[in-house]
Amino acid sequence: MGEQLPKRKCGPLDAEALTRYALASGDDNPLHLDLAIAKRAGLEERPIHGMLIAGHFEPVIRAWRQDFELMGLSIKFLRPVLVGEMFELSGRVIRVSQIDRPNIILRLMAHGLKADGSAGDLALVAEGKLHAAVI
Amino acid sequence: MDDAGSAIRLGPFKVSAARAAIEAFRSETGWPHAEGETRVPHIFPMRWLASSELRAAIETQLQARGGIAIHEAQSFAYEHSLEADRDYILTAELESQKSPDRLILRASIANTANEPLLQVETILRIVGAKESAP
Repeated sequence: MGEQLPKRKCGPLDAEALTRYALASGDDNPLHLDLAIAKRAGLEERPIHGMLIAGHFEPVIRAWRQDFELMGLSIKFLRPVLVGEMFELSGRVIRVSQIDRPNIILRLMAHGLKADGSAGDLALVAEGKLHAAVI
Repeated sequence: MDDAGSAIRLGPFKVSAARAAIEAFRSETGWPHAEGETRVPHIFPMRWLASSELRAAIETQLQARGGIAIHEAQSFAYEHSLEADRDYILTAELESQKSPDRLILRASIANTANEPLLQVETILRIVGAKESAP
Protein backbone atom coordinates (compact mmCIF):
# COMPACT_ATOMS: atom_id res chain seq x y z
CA MET A 1 0.00 0.00 0.00
CA GLY A 2 1.11 3.55 -0.62
CA GLU A 3 3.15 2.69 -3.69
CA GLN A 4 3.24 5.63 -6.06
CA LEU A 5 2.60 5.33 -9.76
CA PRO A 6 5.17 7.08 -11.94
CA LYS A 7 4.00 10.64 -12.54
CA ARG A 8 3.36 11.64 -16.12
CA LYS A 9 3.25 15.14 -17.54
CA CYS A 10 0.96 15.60 -20.53
CA GLY A 11 0.38 18.41 -22.98
CA PRO A 12 0.18 21.19 -23.59
CA LEU A 13 -2.77 20.38 -25.85
CA ASP A 14 -3.80 22.77 -28.59
CA ALA A 15 -7.25 23.42 -30.02
CA GLU A 16 -6.62 20.92 -32.83
CA ALA A 17 -6.08 18.16 -30.25
CA LEU A 18 -9.48 18.96 -28.74
CA THR A 19 -11.06 18.84 -32.19
CA ARG A 20 -9.47 15.45 -32.85
CA TYR A 21 -10.71 14.14 -29.48
CA ALA A 22 -14.18 15.48 -30.25
CA LEU A 23 -14.17 13.49 -33.48
CA ALA A 24 -12.84 10.34 -31.80
CA SER A 25 -15.21 10.50 -28.82
CA GLY A 26 -18.27 12.17 -30.30
CA ASP A 27 -18.14 14.81 -27.56
CA ASP A 28 -18.40 17.96 -29.66
CA ASN A 29 -19.67 20.20 -26.86
CA PRO A 30 -18.88 23.68 -28.24
CA LEU A 31 -17.59 24.78 -24.84
CA HIS A 32 -14.44 22.78 -25.66
CA LEU A 33 -14.22 23.85 -29.30
CA ASP A 34 -15.41 27.44 -29.56
CA LEU A 35 -13.29 30.09 -27.85
CA ALA A 36 -16.14 32.63 -27.81
CA ILE A 37 -18.39 30.20 -25.94
CA ALA A 38 -15.62 29.35 -23.49
CA LYS A 39 -15.11 33.06 -22.82
CA ARG A 40 -18.84 33.56 -22.31
CA ALA A 41 -18.57 30.84 -19.67
CA GLY A 42 -15.92 32.90 -17.91
CA LEU A 43 -12.87 30.95 -19.09
CA GLU A 44 -9.80 32.47 -20.70
CA GLU A 45 -9.43 29.56 -23.09
CA ARG A 46 -11.23 26.42 -24.22
CA PRO A 47 -11.27 23.81 -21.45
CA ILE A 48 -9.81 20.40 -22.27
CA HIS A 49 -12.48 17.67 -22.17
CA GLY A 50 -12.34 16.09 -18.73
CA MET A 51 -12.59 12.64 -20.26
CA LEU A 52 -9.64 13.39 -22.53
CA ILE A 53 -7.58 13.96 -19.39
CA ALA A 54 -9.09 10.94 -17.63
CA GLY A 55 -8.38 8.78 -20.66
CA HIS A 56 -4.66 9.26 -20.07
CA PHE A 57 -4.81 7.31 -16.80
CA GLU A 58 -5.16 3.88 -18.36
CA PRO A 59 -1.92 4.01 -20.41
CA VAL A 60 -0.09 5.12 -17.24
CA ILE A 61 -1.60 2.26 -15.24
CA ARG A 62 -0.90 -0.19 -18.05
CA ALA A 63 2.76 0.88 -18.19
CA TRP A 64 3.00 0.44 -14.41
CA ARG A 65 1.38 -3.00 -14.06
CA GLN A 66 0.75 -5.00 -17.20
CA ASP A 67 -0.31 -7.97 -15.06
CA PHE A 68 -3.43 -6.13 -13.87
CA GLU A 69 -6.54 -5.02 -15.77
CA LEU A 70 -8.40 -1.78 -15.09
CA MET A 71 -11.93 -2.92 -14.30
CA GLY A 72 -13.45 0.17 -12.71
CA LEU A 73 -12.92 3.90 -12.79
CA SER A 74 -14.85 6.59 -10.94
CA ILE A 75 -13.96 10.18 -11.77
CA LYS A 76 -14.94 13.52 -10.25
CA PHE A 77 -14.23 16.63 -12.29
CA LEU A 78 -13.13 19.56 -10.16
CA ARG A 79 -11.38 22.29 -12.17
CA PRO A 80 -10.79 22.83 -15.88
CA VAL A 81 -7.41 22.57 -17.58
CA LEU A 82 -7.27 24.95 -20.51
CA VAL A 83 -5.88 24.74 -24.03
CA GLY A 84 -2.18 25.54 -23.87
CA GLU A 85 -1.79 24.25 -20.32
CA MET A 86 -0.11 21.06 -19.20
CA PHE A 87 -1.41 18.57 -16.68
CA GLU A 88 0.26 15.96 -14.53
CA LEU A 89 -1.14 12.54 -13.68
CA SER A 90 -0.28 10.87 -10.41
CA GLY A 91 -1.58 8.02 -8.34
CA ARG A 92 -0.94 5.71 -5.44
CA VAL A 93 -2.14 2.39 -4.13
CA ILE A 94 -4.68 2.85 -1.37
CA ARG A 95 -5.84 -0.75 -0.91
CA VAL A 96 -4.79 -4.25 -1.87
CA SER A 97 -7.07 -7.21 -1.37
CA GLN A 98 -7.57 -10.81 -2.40
CA ILE A 99 -11.17 -11.55 -3.35
CA ASP A 100 -11.15 -14.42 -5.83
CA ARG A 101 -7.95 -12.90 -7.21
CA PRO A 102 -5.61 -10.01 -6.35
CA ASN A 103 -7.20 -6.57 -6.48
CA ILE A 104 -5.68 -3.11 -6.25
CA ILE A 105 -7.49 0.15 -5.56
CA LEU A 106 -5.75 3.29 -6.79
CA ARG A 107 -6.30 6.93 -5.94
CA LEU A 108 -5.62 8.88 -9.13
CA MET A 109 -5.23 12.61 -9.60
CA ALA A 110 -4.69 15.06 -12.41
CA HIS A 111 -3.31 18.49 -11.57
CA GLY A 112 -3.02 21.41 -13.91
CA LEU A 113 0.56 22.63 -14.16
CA LYS A 114 1.60 26.23 -13.72
CA ALA A 115 3.84 27.94 -16.25
CA ASP A 116 6.88 27.24 -14.04
CA GLY A 117 6.06 23.52 -14.05
CA SER A 118 4.83 23.34 -10.48
CA ALA A 119 1.55 21.65 -9.63
CA GLY A 120 -1.50 23.87 -9.87
CA ASP A 121 -5.15 23.15 -9.19
CA LEU A 122 -6.45 19.63 -8.77
CA ALA A 123 -8.39 19.14 -11.99
CA LEU A 124 -9.88 15.74 -11.30
CA VAL A 125 -9.69 12.91 -8.83
CA ALA A 126 -10.49 9.29 -9.56
CA GLU A 127 -10.50 5.85 -8.06
CA GLY A 128 -9.34 2.95 -10.18
CA LYS A 129 -10.07 -0.72 -9.50
CA LEU A 130 -7.66 -3.26 -10.90
CA HIS A 131 -7.92 -7.04 -11.02
CA ALA A 132 -5.09 -9.40 -11.68
CA ALA A 133 -5.19 -10.28 -15.35
CA VAL A 134 -6.36 -13.76 -16.24
CA ILE A 135 -3.56 -15.39 -18.21
CA MET B 1 -42.99 20.08 -18.35
CA ASP B 2 -41.28 18.94 -15.18
CA ASP B 3 -39.70 15.55 -15.27
CA ALA B 4 -37.55 16.12 -12.19
CA GLY B 5 -37.39 12.94 -10.17
CA SER B 6 -38.50 10.81 -13.07
CA ALA B 7 -36.48 8.44 -15.23
CA ILE B 8 -36.71 7.75 -18.93
CA ARG B 9 -35.68 4.42 -20.37
CA LEU B 10 -33.68 4.51 -23.60
CA GLY B 11 -32.73 1.76 -25.99
CA PRO B 12 -31.76 -0.94 -26.59
CA PHE B 13 -29.30 0.34 -29.19
CA LYS B 14 -26.69 -1.62 -31.08
CA VAL B 15 -23.20 -0.13 -30.66
CA SER B 16 -19.88 -1.31 -31.98
CA ALA B 17 -16.21 -1.23 -31.08
CA ALA B 18 -14.81 -0.89 -34.56
CA ARG B 19 -11.04 -1.20 -34.76
CA ALA B 20 -10.59 2.12 -36.61
CA ALA B 21 -12.64 3.96 -33.98
CA ILE B 22 -10.59 2.35 -31.22
CA GLU B 23 -7.34 3.38 -32.87
CA ALA B 24 -8.53 6.97 -33.23
CA PHE B 25 -9.63 7.04 -29.59
CA ARG B 26 -6.33 5.57 -28.37
CA SER B 27 -4.26 8.06 -30.32
CA GLU B 28 -6.06 11.01 -28.66
CA THR B 29 -5.87 9.71 -25.09
CA GLY B 30 -2.17 9.16 -24.56
CA TRP B 31 -1.71 5.56 -25.67
CA PRO B 32 1.61 4.74 -27.30
CA HIS B 33 1.29 3.66 -30.89
CA ALA B 34 1.31 -0.12 -31.08
CA GLU B 35 0.79 -1.80 -34.42
CA GLY B 36 -2.11 -4.25 -34.30
CA GLU B 37 -3.12 -3.34 -30.73
CA THR B 38 -6.83 -4.03 -30.30
CA ARG B 39 -7.30 -3.34 -26.59
CA VAL B 40 -10.46 -1.30 -26.17
CA PRO B 41 -9.74 1.72 -23.95
CA HIS B 42 -11.59 1.66 -20.63
CA ILE B 43 -13.38 4.90 -21.37
CA PHE B 44 -14.10 4.14 -25.04
CA PRO B 45 -17.85 3.68 -24.30
CA MET B 46 -18.02 7.47 -23.92
CA ARG B 47 -18.28 7.39 -27.68
CA TRP B 48 -21.53 5.47 -27.40
CA LEU B 49 -22.92 7.93 -24.86
CA ALA B 50 -22.52 10.62 -27.52
CA SER B 51 -25.03 8.87 -29.79
CA SER B 52 -27.75 11.03 -31.26
CA GLU B 53 -30.49 9.18 -29.36
CA LEU B 54 -28.95 9.72 -25.93
CA ARG B 55 -27.95 13.29 -26.70
CA ALA B 56 -31.46 14.10 -27.86
CA ALA B 57 -32.90 12.77 -24.61
CA ILE B 58 -30.45 14.86 -22.58
CA GLU B 59 -31.10 17.93 -24.72
CA THR B 60 -34.86 17.57 -24.24
CA GLN B 61 -34.38 17.51 -20.47
CA LEU B 62 -32.06 20.50 -20.57
CA GLN B 63 -34.51 22.53 -22.62
CA ALA B 64 -37.28 21.68 -20.18
CA ARG B 65 -35.17 22.51 -17.13
CA GLY B 66 -33.21 25.41 -18.61
CA GLY B 67 -29.53 25.89 -17.95
CA ILE B 68 -26.48 24.14 -19.26
CA ALA B 69 -24.97 20.78 -18.33
CA ILE B 70 -21.58 20.50 -16.67
CA HIS B 71 -19.92 17.09 -16.53
CA GLU B 72 -19.60 16.47 -12.80
CA ALA B 73 -18.68 12.80 -12.51
CA GLN B 74 -18.22 9.68 -14.59
CA SER B 75 -17.82 6.03 -13.70
CA PHE B 76 -17.28 2.70 -15.39
CA ALA B 77 -17.69 -0.70 -13.75
CA TYR B 78 -16.65 -3.63 -15.90
CA GLU B 79 -17.48 -7.29 -15.41
CA HIS B 80 -15.69 -8.26 -18.59
CA SER B 81 -13.45 -6.33 -20.95
CA LEU B 82 -14.71 -5.30 -24.38
CA GLU B 83 -13.23 -6.66 -27.59
CA ALA B 84 -12.54 -4.91 -30.85
CA ASP B 85 -14.73 -5.46 -33.88
CA ARG B 86 -17.67 -6.68 -31.81
CA ASP B 87 -21.22 -5.39 -31.55
CA TYR B 88 -22.78 -4.67 -28.18
CA ILE B 89 -26.20 -3.76 -26.88
CA LEU B 90 -26.64 -0.56 -24.89
CA THR B 91 -29.65 0.25 -22.76
CA ALA B 92 -29.90 3.36 -20.63
CA GLU B 93 -31.94 5.26 -18.12
CA LEU B 94 -31.91 9.02 -17.81
CA GLU B 95 -32.91 10.29 -14.38
CA SER B 96 -33.68 13.92 -13.69
CA GLN B 97 -32.98 15.09 -10.14
CA LYS B 98 -33.54 18.26 -8.19
CA SER B 99 -31.72 19.64 -5.16
CA PRO B 100 -29.22 19.84 -6.67
CA ASP B 101 -30.26 19.96 -10.32
CA ARG B 102 -28.73 17.00 -12.08
CA LEU B 103 -29.22 14.59 -14.93
CA ILE B 104 -27.92 11.09 -14.32
CA LEU B 105 -27.45 8.76 -17.27
CA ARG B 106 -26.96 5.11 -16.36
CA ALA B 107 -26.07 2.82 -19.22
CA SER B 108 -25.75 -0.94 -19.28
CA ILE B 109 -23.75 -2.65 -21.98
CA ALA B 110 -24.16 -6.31 -22.80
CA ASN B 111 -22.89 -8.59 -25.52
CA THR B 112 -25.22 -9.81 -28.21
CA ALA B 113 -25.97 -12.89 -26.06
CA ASN B 114 -27.31 -10.41 -23.48
CA GLU B 115 -24.56 -11.12 -20.98
CA PRO B 116 -23.84 -7.96 -18.92
CA LEU B 117 -20.37 -6.54 -19.40
CA LEU B 118 -20.32 -3.00 -18.14
CA GLN B 119 -22.20 -0.31 -16.24
CA VAL B 120 -21.55 3.34 -17.02
CA GLU B 121 -22.83 6.34 -15.07
CA THR B 122 -22.64 9.96 -16.16
CA ILE B 123 -23.60 12.74 -13.76
CA LEU B 124 -24.35 16.13 -15.29
CA ARG B 125 -24.87 19.13 -13.04
CA ILE B 126 -27.37 21.58 -14.49
CA VAL B 127 -26.20 25.14 -13.99
CA GLY B 128 -28.74 27.92 -14.23
CA ALA B 129 -31.78 25.65 -14.20
CA LYS B 130 -35.21 27.19 -13.95
CA GLU B 131 -36.96 26.71 -10.59
CA SER B 132 -33.71 25.70 -8.94
CA ALA B 133 -34.13 24.46 -5.45
CA PRO B 134 -33.05 26.94 -2.76
